[in-house]
Amino acid sequence: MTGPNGSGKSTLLAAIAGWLPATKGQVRVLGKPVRAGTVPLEVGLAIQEVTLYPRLTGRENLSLFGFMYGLHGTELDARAEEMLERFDLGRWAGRRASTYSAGVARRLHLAISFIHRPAVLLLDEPTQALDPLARQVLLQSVAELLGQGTAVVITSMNLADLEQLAHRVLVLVEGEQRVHEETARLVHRLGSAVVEVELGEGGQDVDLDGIEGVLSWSVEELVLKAQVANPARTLPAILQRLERKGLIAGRIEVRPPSLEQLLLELVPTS
Amino acid sequence: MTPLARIARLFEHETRLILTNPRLLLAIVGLPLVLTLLANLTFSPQAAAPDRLGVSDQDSTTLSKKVASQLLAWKGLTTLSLAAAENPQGYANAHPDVVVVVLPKGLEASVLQGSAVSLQTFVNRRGSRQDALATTAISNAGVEISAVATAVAAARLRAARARTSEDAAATTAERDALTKFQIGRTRNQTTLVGAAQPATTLTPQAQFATVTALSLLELVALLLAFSMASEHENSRLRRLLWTRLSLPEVIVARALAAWVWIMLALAIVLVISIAAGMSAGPNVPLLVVISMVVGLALSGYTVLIMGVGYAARQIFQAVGAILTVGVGAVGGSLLPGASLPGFVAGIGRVTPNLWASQAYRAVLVQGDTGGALWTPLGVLVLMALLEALVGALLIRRALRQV
Repeated sequence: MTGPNGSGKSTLLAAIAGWLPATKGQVRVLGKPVRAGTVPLEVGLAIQEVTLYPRLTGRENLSLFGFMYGLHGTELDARAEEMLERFDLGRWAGRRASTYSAGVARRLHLAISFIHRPAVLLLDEPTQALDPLARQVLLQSVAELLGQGTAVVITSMNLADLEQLAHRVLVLVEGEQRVHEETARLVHRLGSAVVEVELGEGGQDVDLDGIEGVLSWSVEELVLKAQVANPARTLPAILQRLERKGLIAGRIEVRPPSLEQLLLELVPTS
Repeated sequence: MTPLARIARLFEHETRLILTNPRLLLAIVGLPLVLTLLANLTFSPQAAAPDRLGVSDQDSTTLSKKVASQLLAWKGLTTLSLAAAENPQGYANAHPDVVVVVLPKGLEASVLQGSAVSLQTFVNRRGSRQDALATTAISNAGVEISAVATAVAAARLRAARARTSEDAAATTAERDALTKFQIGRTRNQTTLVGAAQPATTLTPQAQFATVTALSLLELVALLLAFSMASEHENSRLRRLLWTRLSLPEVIVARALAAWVWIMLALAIVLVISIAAGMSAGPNVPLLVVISMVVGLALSGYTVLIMGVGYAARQIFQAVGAILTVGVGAVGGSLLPGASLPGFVAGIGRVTPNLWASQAYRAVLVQGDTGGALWTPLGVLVLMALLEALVGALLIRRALRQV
């Protein structure tokens, strides 16, 4: 799930979890309606704010929450160890959470959400404020859960996370669903590349209609942006047309497409 | 996994959080320790000694020396002689335990004329007013001086009638009178009886029942509430409630943890007070029961303040502190209940302080062992439940917001 600030991602996640009541419609998780005010035990929810007991160690935090989820004895110990290993927390298990870096704290936060092995995991901005290395470790952990059959709903402003993890993407803008489709199809729809060309005078009159492989195009401030399916095949045709009209003035760039680009197109600018 | 097991686990967790918080631990244990010791020193039941008597002889004559020597030898009084140059008023002002009497210049001359002169006395208002012995001695000295003056006046009258020397008769009469001069002879006598009074009007029992226990324990309750509803706690508690744990279980576990720590603080207060001379009353088990119920009421108060903490994080420390001081003042723990205006005293009836104070006074001061206790104890239990309920509702409301 992605969208600009205030688009309703966290609210929707809270409604899916059952923490907030749905103002209309109905939420079903694993086919069962969700009762507002309670989070089903089949759901693991990790909100944006990292919620740990700072004076407890990582293992103690896991143990407390695990116990409250109904685990006890050797089962609880084993599950806590499994979480420490899965989220690469072994080195920090015996240290107080107050000493953790942001990345380690967030991984423990995530581990707590998963200690009772929920079928559905809801993660709100899990990579927020993480350095690239910590982000990769966390994304890897989530990818493993996905690989093992856990359904994960993840919200992120970092679209690269979604491109890396998500099978489907939902784009929310001002509480409205703008896009909801499989990531692969969406990326295909966006094209496999974006061609940007700086145009000279008269550039606003450019016309790429009829060029095979051009999915869409626009000109803003004398910069042409075209989504193309196959840049190797389409780029020469574009450049040929522009050159014929003497419109090429400077930089020519070919970039891979991104969800960010999609978001920019969907969000109304004020 | 039963609710009881979850409550026990959360109770252990909450207790542990307090144990791993040195500042809070220090406050919970140190506050009752230091303040009870201070309160017991302030309201010390140590006997106030009788005031000393200072004699300033500014006449330095046969008569004045006689008076001074007898005052200085007054039985049961610690006395001292002031130098003639010493300012008697200044001395009394500087020494609150000294009553200063002045034998004024011209005392003997006046007596030889047949009239007595008043003795001037200085008593410091800051003194403990243990001046009965000193004022009796001074009063008796005044009466004896008057007797000498009367004898001299009579001798002068006789001499005048006999047309002999009045002055010679006066001198002789004075000398005769002085041979019998004895200020402790037949005059007023004061004997101090009974136990010595403490410096304040509060007995240790009343002090414990009214001031020390309640105001201290409310501070401890406040600190516990601050700790339990600390920064980021909304999110942590919300997350705990996404497990099998329910809000009532959380409330019970936390109230129980608060109760244990409040009981520890109360035990410290009790032990120090008893060691400092407070009587535990005629029924110690009853004192323990009252303390347990008072602890319960304060646990409810902890949950209430905690509820304010979740519902209004920005202002809750200020609200909690104001509420606690206000409850202490209106409930008669910080200000004397009897001196409060009627409507304020009425408000005091909805504070645990007033009822806890009533229960403690009944058993500690009045020696009650039965009937009079049930009403305050019942009210305290109801208050505990009501406060916990309001606190729980506030928490529930706060946790429903994103």
